[in-house]
Amino acid sequence: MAAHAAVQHAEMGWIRTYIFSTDHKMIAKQYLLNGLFFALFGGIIALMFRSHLALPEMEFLEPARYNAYVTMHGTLMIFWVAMPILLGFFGNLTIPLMIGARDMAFPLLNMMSYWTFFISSVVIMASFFVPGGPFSGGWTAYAPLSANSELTGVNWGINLWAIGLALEFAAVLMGGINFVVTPFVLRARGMSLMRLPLVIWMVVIASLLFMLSVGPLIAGTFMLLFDKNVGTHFYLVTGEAVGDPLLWQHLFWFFGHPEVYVILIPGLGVIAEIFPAAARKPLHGYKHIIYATIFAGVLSFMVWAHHMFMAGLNPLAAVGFSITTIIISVPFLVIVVAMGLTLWGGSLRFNAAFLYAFFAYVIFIVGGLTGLQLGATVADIQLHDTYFVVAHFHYVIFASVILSTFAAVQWWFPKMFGRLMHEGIGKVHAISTFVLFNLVFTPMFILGFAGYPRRYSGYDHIPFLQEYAWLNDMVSLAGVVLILVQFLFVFNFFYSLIAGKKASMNPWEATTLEWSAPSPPPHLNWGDTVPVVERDPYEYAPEGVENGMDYQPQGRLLSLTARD
Amino acid sequence: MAHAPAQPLEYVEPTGIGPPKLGMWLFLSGEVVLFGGVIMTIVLFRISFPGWREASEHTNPIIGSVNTFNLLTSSMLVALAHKMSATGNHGPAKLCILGCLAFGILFLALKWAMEWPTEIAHGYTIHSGPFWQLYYTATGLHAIHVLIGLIAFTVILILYMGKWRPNFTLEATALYWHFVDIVWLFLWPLFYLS
Repeated sequence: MAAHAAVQHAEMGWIRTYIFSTDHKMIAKQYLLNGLFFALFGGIIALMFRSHLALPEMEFLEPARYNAYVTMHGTLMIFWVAMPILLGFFGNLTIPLMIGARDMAFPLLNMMSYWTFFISSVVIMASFFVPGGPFSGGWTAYAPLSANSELTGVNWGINLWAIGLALEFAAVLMGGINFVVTPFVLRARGMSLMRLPLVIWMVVIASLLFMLSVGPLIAGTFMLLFDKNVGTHFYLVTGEAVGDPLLWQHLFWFFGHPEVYVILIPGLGVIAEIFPAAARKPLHGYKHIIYATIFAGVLSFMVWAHHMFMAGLNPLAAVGFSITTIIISVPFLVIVVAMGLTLWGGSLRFNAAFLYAFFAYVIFIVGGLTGLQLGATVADIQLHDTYFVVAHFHYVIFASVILSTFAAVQWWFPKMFGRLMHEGIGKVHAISTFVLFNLVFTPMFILGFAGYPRRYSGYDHIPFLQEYAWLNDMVSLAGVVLILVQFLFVFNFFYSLIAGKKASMNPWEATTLEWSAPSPPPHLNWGDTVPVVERDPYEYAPEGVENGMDYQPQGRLLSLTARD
Repeated sequence: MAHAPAQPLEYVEPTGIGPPKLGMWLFLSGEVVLFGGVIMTIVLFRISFPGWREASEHTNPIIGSVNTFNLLTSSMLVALAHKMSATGNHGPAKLCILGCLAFGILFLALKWAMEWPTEIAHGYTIHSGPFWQLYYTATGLHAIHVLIGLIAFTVILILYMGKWRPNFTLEATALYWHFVDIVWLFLWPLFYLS
């Protein structure tokens, strides 16, 4: 019967197949391409403002434009790169294929999710072309600065920023409902919750975190729009009419900190998929990783004010938030150690996907360790709003978002397009990105300690910083090269799309269910067969080689007609 | 929201809760946090700014209370509609949905055609201080949710008149409607009875 349905669906027209598709794999590709476009765009914006810092006498950008570009770099990278790729792309591609379903639970909602996201992309891009340019108040959009267009010189930019963000949130909410419901109701026979591949758990937890944290910010965004356009005083203070200037920061960071884990956790999930297959060993501490992630997720709702230590917070409250912040490093230590022990003693296969995942792992550890220093109030007073913070969150987010995206694309490219990405270009790109990334952001830790403040369009007028000016110039130079190197990936992507080696069903000899489907899987994934799960997800065994195979696939396919 | 596949996915393990219902619960969990943020803002402003009680004396508690009655009654009718629809009594079920629509429309009519214009005529607009800006924002946000629920019930009723039978859809929409009702039970004392 399902085979019959598959034939019917195959006859859908071009528009329903490629544009308004309800197929999870097509929606995943749409999210990926949209996200990669903005990744490139956000990178080029970074290239422009770093060029301005390196050669201020060239005056690439006026100071107001500089602020706008820094703001849009952050905004685009978090909301229009990380969210569509780590939730939209990972969730849509992996969930049905890895749990043995034919599609998501609500395919129509899934399509609406992508097209709402697309509209939000158009809105945020439009803000570059309105008078006054895009929003320039920082990606955190602190009110009252953002609520008063006289202070920023931006009028329509902030409106479009807020509307675009609200649309983007709506899109991810629709997707998130799918990502949570599908693994709970559409698992294949035998796929118990504790047999789900880790990346599925991570996407589910991330979607839940997003859904349970974004509400106050949506309300806050509307209050911001009211303050700016209607003349209310939720955040603004003018004469007699007083609002609460700190309210926005609370609403933003109550969402903002869980949001960091929303875009971090799926990246860790990808690392957890690739490490066992590369080391040919079972994942170490599967359950511990899940429990640690849930614990970190719950705790992430209780740490938000560590972003506000310098905002006039009650010192007693700051101590409480400092303690929860430092506790939250414990579950992440569990995760990192479990992943390290997965590699320990394995016979590693150094393919490009593993290199990306391994570099993401290494960089994430540095990011996590430097977070401790910012979480302690005493150190934060010195380091707040310096380059140290910039370096810290790039170490966390570049690892989880950019490198694990490269790893995931390299890894699942056969399941998307039926071809393999070029290994050699992938390895060169991975190594050069890793080296250049460290050249950009390690000096920033030093610059942060030296007192370099964030978001300044020039440092020439500050005498005590001149001692380190050469280091900042090196950052700019390495940053420009880092962004240029990314075109290697773009080339590899399109080259492999056209001329890549045809992939077999299971090119990585991996265990999980998606590798039992054809490359690329047809609409409804399994044709007239049905996957049945019989094992845990990562049964690799370097010693117990049977029939020349050192791994046991998680499930096998039953013919629909032979069943019963 | 429920998009039924062309053929049943027959290999799926049956679970205790249907996809539309689970999806609705998840959506509502997000909505709880949304209104949670609004209500925390109300509490914060109420603690921070003097004059809250004086301002709240100018609201109309009679309309507020009648509207509470309207929402509670419509919620009861929706629960009855779901029960009757599930037991095959489709005629009474349709009547109950119609009744729910009537009480919902009455709620919006009282709020938007009577209450707000009267307040604005007395000079209490969205610019009249912390109480009033939150009053209009929070009850306005809630009223939009009521409106969305009414549109959903209208669509369900129109489809129900034909051959379509709303099993899970009615249940999921009823959940939403009860949630909107509960939010009002928080807003009512915060604005009208304080």
